[in-house]
This record gives sequence, structure tokens and C-alpha cells, in this order.
Amino acid sequence: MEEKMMKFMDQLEHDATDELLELIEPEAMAQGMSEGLDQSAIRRIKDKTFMKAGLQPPASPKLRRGPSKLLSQKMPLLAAGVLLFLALSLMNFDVVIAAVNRFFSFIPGYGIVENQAGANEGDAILYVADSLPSVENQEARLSLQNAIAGKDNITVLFEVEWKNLTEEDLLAKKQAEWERLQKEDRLQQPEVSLYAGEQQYKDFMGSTGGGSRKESSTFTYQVAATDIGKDIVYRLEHGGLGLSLEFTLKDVATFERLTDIGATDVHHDIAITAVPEFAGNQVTVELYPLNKSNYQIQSFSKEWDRGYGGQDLSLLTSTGPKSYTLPESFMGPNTKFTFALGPEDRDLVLDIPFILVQSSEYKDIKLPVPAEGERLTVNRKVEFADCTMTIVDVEVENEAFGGERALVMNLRYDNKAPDKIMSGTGFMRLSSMGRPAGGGYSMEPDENGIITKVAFALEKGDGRSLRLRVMNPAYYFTAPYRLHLGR
Amino acid sequence: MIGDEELIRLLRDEPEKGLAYMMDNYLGFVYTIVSGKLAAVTGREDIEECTSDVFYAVFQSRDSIDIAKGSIKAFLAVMAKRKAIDKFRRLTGQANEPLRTAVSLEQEEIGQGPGQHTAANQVEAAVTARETGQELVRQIKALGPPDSEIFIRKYYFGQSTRAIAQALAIKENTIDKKISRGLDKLKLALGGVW
Repeated sequence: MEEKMMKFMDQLEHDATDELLELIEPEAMAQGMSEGLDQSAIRRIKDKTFMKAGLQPPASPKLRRGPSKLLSQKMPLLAAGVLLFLALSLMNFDVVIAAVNRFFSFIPGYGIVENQAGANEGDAILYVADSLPSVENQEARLSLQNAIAGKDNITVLFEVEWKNLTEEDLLAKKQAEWERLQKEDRLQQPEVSLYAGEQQYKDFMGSTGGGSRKESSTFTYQVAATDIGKDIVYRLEHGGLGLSLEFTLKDVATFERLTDIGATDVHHDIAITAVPEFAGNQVTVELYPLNKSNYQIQSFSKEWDRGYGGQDLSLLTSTGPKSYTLPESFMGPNTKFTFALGPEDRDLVLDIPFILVQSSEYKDIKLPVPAEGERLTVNRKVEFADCTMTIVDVEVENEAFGGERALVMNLRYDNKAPDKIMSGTGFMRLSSMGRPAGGGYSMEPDENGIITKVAFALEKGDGRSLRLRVMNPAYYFTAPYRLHLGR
Repeated sequence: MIGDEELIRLLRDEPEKGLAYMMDNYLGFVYTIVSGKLAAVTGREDIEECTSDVFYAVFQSRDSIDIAKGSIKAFLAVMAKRKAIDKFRRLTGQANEPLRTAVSLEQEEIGQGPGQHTAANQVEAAVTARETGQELVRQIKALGPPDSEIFIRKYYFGQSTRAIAQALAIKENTIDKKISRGLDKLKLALGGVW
């Protein structure tokens, strides 16, 4: 009888399903469900779905407060004179790269900043936080990650960890945020003020990411030039949490060479500097890339659906290689890797066998759509800077894409350099006017993580040809980064 | 919480916003249904892939969803069941078997295999299954709280007794007793179907 019960449940139509689910309150539905569905899984599922739908996955929620247009014109930290790497690029800020007479400012937890000789005085980073205090109450912990001061602005990086937040609370919080967004077209504005001595600064511009029990924020305040200095005590006050912390500033540390900051290796105009932090029987290595290539870094390590030849980042030690654990949450490519160490472990070398990168190149093509059951050899070449991709043949399959009709393409790659291995590209449908028009597709990788087959979903109105944009070629850069951490 | 009509409008006119809203609000719900069907036969990757397929399929159907027939949640639930069952069959090598409805199982038990169905039989079976489904829901409703919720968690979402006990703060053996008694009541109420 139990089996029959399940079978009937499986076959309920929409109206009966509604009637059934009405019996459970939405709040009750959250209890004990979604086991195994952590933030990483949610991110993966969302990314996959948006990719299939040909849509851009949602970015981290952005918070805006005050006269943003005016403030944005005054954002010296975003100006071309100062080049912000890593952290800002992860938050969708433009990364500005230029030829410079180098010296490097290193801001732990934030990035390596390459100062431009001759930059406007107002664009320079003058000070960073002298210490990184943390305060807490029963509800939450507020931690300063760093503070960066220019001539008339201070950017504060901080983390909020909610100590007792249940899954139900998280859902309620998300729902409240969404309702506010619908009503007021903006997310909740946290009451976070910066005090320079007794002078309060309330307006900021910035972003918050994370969204689970931990949220990281980067807020920039316009501050009077007279309120910037090493002898001033600053207070960050989080009204929503009832917490505040104090900090002072110190001169930013500058270096002439990246290797003075940490072990550095460079390939294809991408430098990676590793800064280890030893604590107890483990080491956490944070990676700081300095990228002067035409590619954006997607990953430093194997991801569950992307990796080259089964290799992965590891820590080589005198007792053998160690695998890593990841932080609880992160935005964009993860840069922090933690390894457990034994007392015998010596000669530590961080081994990054490949990095995954992507460019913004694209090519528009037109492919024939053959009759069902017919495989058509097309050998359509798509030329990119570092690889020629060939669409060898095409075939229409009825259930190729999640049970739907799709144009299946078999692909081949002719890489122009032995250590730049194309892993695949993105695809997007083009309208008859040649404009991007979304579209979904699935990809099939081989054992090396190279996409060799793509099924692009066909729509009812599709005729005997399909116009596609082939875009964002992704590569495994396989020149290994070997970073000697000592010990 | 926006209404279904507004969500459909978002899915059509502002697809990024609509899909994000739908996933923000129903991802756990869909994942639970999919996981309930697949967790015993496969791992995280297939469950995540299938969950993603459900949202994509509903997104693709956004122009044809008729909310007079059911809510978005119901569309997602029905799609989740179908996709998960399809995946289950593929994974367990039953991909080519015809759809085995509860009614067809009933007929098999009395010696009438699926191959012997005529078209008329199949239509009749579908109608009977639909009517029985509606009656089943009415009877589960009649069990009253918390028994009706226990039944839905157990048989619709595929949750274990332990998970239900934890969620509802009720002892595991109490859950088992309530299920056993509830099944007896349903058997009596639904008569010949069982």
C-alpha cells in the first residue's frame, strides 16, 4: 500500500498538488527539508539554470545609499590612477590595467595594489587599518577585515557573522529583502556609520555579498580630508546589530617586488603571489593574482564540473601532497585554501597545476539544422586568439537537452600554444537582426574536462539554420605555478 | 511575496529577475522533491542537475503556464516529480519501460500486464488515477494536523521518519504509529482502490 500511495502522489495533477500542499504552512515546509542544500549547492544550481536559459546569473546583492551618482563621481578608489585587483574584480568593479612604473601596496585580505607613478595625489592609498578588531553580542559578530584610506575617503571592509540564524530565519530574511525590493526598488539599507572622532559619516556606497550566515561588505565613505590621519580614532557603528568597533590607521606597506610580499610565480602575464598564515596544525594560503593578460581568472583549482586531466591544487610537503579545504563561503574564484599539517611536514610548496581563465572574445556564426536522424559534417572553424575551434558536425536529437529537441554539435580544438588548452566556449542564440537572444545548452566534457559535445536547445520556430554567438572561450593555462612557502 | 501572476509577468518580461525570484523562493522545495526520489540511487551532482532541469523546464514553459490550473509551486512540484522519476528510470536502467501508473500496477496484480492495455484502457486508467488522486488528497486532508503533514512529508516529499520526527518535534515511534493508523483509515475510506 505504501508503494501505491507514493505512486499516486507522484501522479497528482496541478490542482490536486495545490490542494495537498496547502496543508503544510510555508514556514513548516522549511523545517527539516533541503538537507544537503548548502550555499555552494544553491550557487551551482542557480548558475547551471541561468546558463541553460542563456541568462546572466544574478550578482551579489548591491546596497546603495545616499546620493550615489554624485558619490560615484567622487570614488577615487575606483579611478584609473589606482589599480585595484582581486577583491574589487570579484565584486564586478572594472579592473583597470595600465603600464606603470611599479611599486606594490599589499593590503592583507584585500589585494595587491599597483600604484601608478604620477597618479593624482587624490587617487593614492595613504593608510590601512592598524589592527583588525572584532566585537560580538548574542546575535552576531562584527569583524573588521581592513580599512583603506585615500586623501578624502575611507573604504571599510567588514564581515558580519550571524551566530544563531536558523534556516527558517534565513528564508524569512530573504523574503523580507525581496518584498522591500519589490516595494521600494532597493534592498534593506544597513545603518552602518563611520565616525572619525565625533564626526559621523552616514552615506556610503558599496556592496555586500555572502548571504548565508556570513556576509562580507565593502563600504566607501566620503570623508573630509581633515578627518583622515593616523592620529584619529575611527569607529564603525552597525546600528542594525547594536555593535561598534574602533580602529586606527597606519601607513600602507609598499614593496618593490611581488616576491617581497610572498612566493610568486608568473606565466602568461598572470602573477600569483601566495601568502601563508600558519595557525596550530594548519596553514591557510591566500592567493593574490596580478593579472596583466587579456583573460579573467575563473578558478585556481578543480571545480566539480571543471578541471584539467583530473589534476587539482595541492600542497606538496616532505611527507607527500596534501589536499585542501575551502572557506565556508566566498564570492567569485576562491583564493583561500587551508591544509592540515603534521609535525613532520616540511618544504611546503603550493602546487597549482592549472588555472582556468576566460576571455571576452566572441564570433557570430550560422549553422545548418539538418533533418532529424541526419548527421551533417560542417567543419565550421571559429577562430580565437589562442585556439581554433571546429564544429565538426551537427545533428538534431529529440531528447538531447533535458528531454528536449536540440542541435548537437561535436567539437574539436586546435590550440596555438601547448599550455593554453581550450576547455570550451559559451553559446547564445542570435535573432534574425543579429542580436543576442538567450538560449539554453548543455555541455559534455571528456575525461580531461574539455567540452567535446554541446546540445543547443531548438525552439519551435527554428528553421533549417541557426545563428549563434560563440563567446567567452575558456582555457586551462597549464603552466604550473609552484610557490615555495618555506617551513 | 509576489503573486503568481506577477511572477509569470516577471518570467516573461524580466527573465533574469523572474528566474532569480522563482529560484530564491522554491529552490529548497524543488530540491527536496528531487532528492526524495533520487538520493537512494545517485549522488549530489545528479540531484543538482535534475533540480536545475526542473527550473529550466518551468522557465521554458513560462508562456504556456495557466495558473487557473494550478499555482507556480504546483507546476514546479509536478515538474520535479516528472523529471526526477525520469532520471530515476535512466539511472536504474528502466528508461524504456512504459509509464507504470498506480492503476496499471493494480491491473498487473490481477494478471493484466501493461502490454495488454488498449488505448481505451489507458484513457480510463488515467481518468481513474486522476479521480483517485483527488480523493486521496481529500482523505489526507481529513486526517487533520499533524497527521496530514506527516503523510505529505512521508509520501510526497519522501522524507524519512527520523527527519519528520526532528522537523515536527515528535518521537519517531509516534510518527510510525500515526502513519500506520493513517494508512488503515485511508484504506477504509478509499475502499477498492487499495
